[in-house]
Amino acid sequence: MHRHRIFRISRRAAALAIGLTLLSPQFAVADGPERERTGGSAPLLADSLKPIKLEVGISSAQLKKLRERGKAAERAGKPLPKADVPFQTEHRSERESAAGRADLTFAEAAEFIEQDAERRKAPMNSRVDSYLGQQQTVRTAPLAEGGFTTQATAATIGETPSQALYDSCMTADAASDAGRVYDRFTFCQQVPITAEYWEKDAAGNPVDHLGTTKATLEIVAQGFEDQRTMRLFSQIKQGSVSYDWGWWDNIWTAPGVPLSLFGTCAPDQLDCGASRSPATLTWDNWNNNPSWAYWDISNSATAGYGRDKVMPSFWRVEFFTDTDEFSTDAPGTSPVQVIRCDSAAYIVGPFGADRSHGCVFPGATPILRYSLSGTEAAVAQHILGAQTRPEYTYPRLPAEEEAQRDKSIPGQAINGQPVHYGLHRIHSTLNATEYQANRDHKDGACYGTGPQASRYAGLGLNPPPDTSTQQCDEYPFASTLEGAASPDWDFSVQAVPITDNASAGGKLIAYYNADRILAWDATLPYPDGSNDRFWVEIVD
Amino acid sequence: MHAQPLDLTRLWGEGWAVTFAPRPPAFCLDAMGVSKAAPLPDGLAAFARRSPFDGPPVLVAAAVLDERWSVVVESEAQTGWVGTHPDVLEALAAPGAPACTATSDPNKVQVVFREYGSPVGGLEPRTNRRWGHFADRTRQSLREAGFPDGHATQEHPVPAAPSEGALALLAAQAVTGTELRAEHLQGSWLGGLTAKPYPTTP
Repeated sequence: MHRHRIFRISRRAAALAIGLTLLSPQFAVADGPERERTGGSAPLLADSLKPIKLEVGISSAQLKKLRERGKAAERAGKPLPKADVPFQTEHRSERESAAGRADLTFAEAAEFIEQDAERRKAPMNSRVDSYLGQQQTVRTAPLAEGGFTTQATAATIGETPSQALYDSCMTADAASDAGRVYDRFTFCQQVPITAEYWEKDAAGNPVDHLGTTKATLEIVAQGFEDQRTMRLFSQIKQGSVSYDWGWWDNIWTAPGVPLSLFGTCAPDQLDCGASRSPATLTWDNWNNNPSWAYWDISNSATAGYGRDKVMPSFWRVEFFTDTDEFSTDAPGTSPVQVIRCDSAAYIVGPFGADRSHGCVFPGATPILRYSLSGTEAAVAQHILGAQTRPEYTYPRLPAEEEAQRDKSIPGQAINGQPVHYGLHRIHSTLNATEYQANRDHKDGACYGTGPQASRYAGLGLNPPPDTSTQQCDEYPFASTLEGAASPDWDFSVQAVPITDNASAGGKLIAYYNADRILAWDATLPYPDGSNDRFWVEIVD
Repeated sequence: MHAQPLDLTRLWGEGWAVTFAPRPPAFCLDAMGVSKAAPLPDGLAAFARRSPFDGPPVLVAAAVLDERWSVVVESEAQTGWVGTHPDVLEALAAPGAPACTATSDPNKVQVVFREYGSPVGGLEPRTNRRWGHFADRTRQSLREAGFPDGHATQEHPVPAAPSEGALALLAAQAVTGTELRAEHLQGSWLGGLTAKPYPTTP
């Protein structure tokens, strides 16, 4: 009797799983840290995007001072002076400390990520909908322009984001509440902000609406691949500031008002810490000579979940004006985003280079790409056949079962979009039982050997591989939970040239490490949803 | 009783190849297609400076194990492991001393070897599935290392090891009668780039 493939993923688990893998990845290699200012080439924000509001009170005395300073500058024919505070320091004062409270559970974090998926929603392949019982629609963002090329390691992280990375990431998709998850290690966003200024009397009561200042806030975030830290960059987009204070104040008062940006952990979140002070410039300086401020957002392995100490960090950028003369009634905050950090000891660089800690954006859809024209061509051809015409693959279904259904093989992505269930990595040592079971079924289906040989009698690969030149390739991979032994999914075996199989294996290990695909951990809360998934796309 | 082999999976992860050959390091690299071999000043750390998506050409490095044997390591298999090419194994084998390569990627761990003048033989160490040519001496060496003659079963298991990578190294060491120790990894290495293609005929 052939194994029954039963769809066992609950709707709840499926929803959580969807929440962890959201957007199309776009891989690119940044060209290292650059010192010059980046920005200025990004698109304008859509008018429909709702601005984030900031309300600031200005004392009558300070307003008078501001206007006198403006008059002096006007008389002298000089620009307004810069803010008389340091742009940014390493010191993070107590008021600004963002050590979060650990009162958000892992399940709540998973729900947040699920909701985050909804923010990035776009229709998915209907086939997936049908697998989810027509109840749950898998969502992902549309493939952004630029296409894909190949997998890449994380970009170098400096004190500013590189211009190349900025240009690649900050496309129209970034100008949204959800921002753009560019790849597993990079996020970017543009959001409109609006600051309302009120004159306040000595008692702190608003007495007059002075005006409104509008601008575009820019955010770039990069996960490290060797520590549990993310670097968060922010600035006001050059040339984006406009004033509505009245004609004279527009020129001589409003531009001299300071604005602070502050990267921080979101409140009420899991163990999280952030470094460095707010960054302060006048609106005029932000508008004409912006500088990237940066903060490092970290969490510790101690509080992490499961074998790999997985822990999300929720973060945002706050903006305000807080000095003795100004009072921020309602600071503005960018939409909360999430990064996931882990301490997976088995993620390594060549010959043990330390990659055992790292942070990735779970909103990226991890996709391995094999090429029909690459050194792994025969494997790519096999996978394409398995994904698209599984009924023609080995092992055959038993006749009575074949009359009832077609084989179904997961893991396919097309044009950067998942169109089937994702694959979960397993590790030969950490998931030894599942790994061994995959091997046994593969040997049975491919060579007619091993403990599962009788199960595939008359159904397995015929003829078996010529071991002098060929190996048995299996899809889904032996290193996935959905491999040959999976009770839920079918699989395919095919004889391929040894060199193609070795090349595909080499590219797989490079991909697992580069995209930081964690191996299955059944001890995680909601393991079906919270473990990493990835997809396989076959390209020309 | 054999000493516990190095666990290269723990040290290097799931992607590596190790070749044992009864030839000097420079000879090994030449056979593997390296045209310009040079000492690696910081040894195997040279691999850490390469992207996993580098290559071809790929970096290979060789070192002396003892007065007869050398070890060659690879960590980039974008075009397959050079040490598994049949013509490489043929060139590296010597009378009475086979050349042998253990490889690991996420999907499979294998050992392939070639006795002097014989076809390639191979095995998967976890299941002990075997293919190709096994000389009596090779069978006996593997038997003495604890491997059964047939497919591994509960009654006739393969030796216990911390990982399949360690098991592969145990098998490779049994086939060649050599031993890779931690101090070898810290020693002097000769390295170079190769883009040698897989031979069109085995």
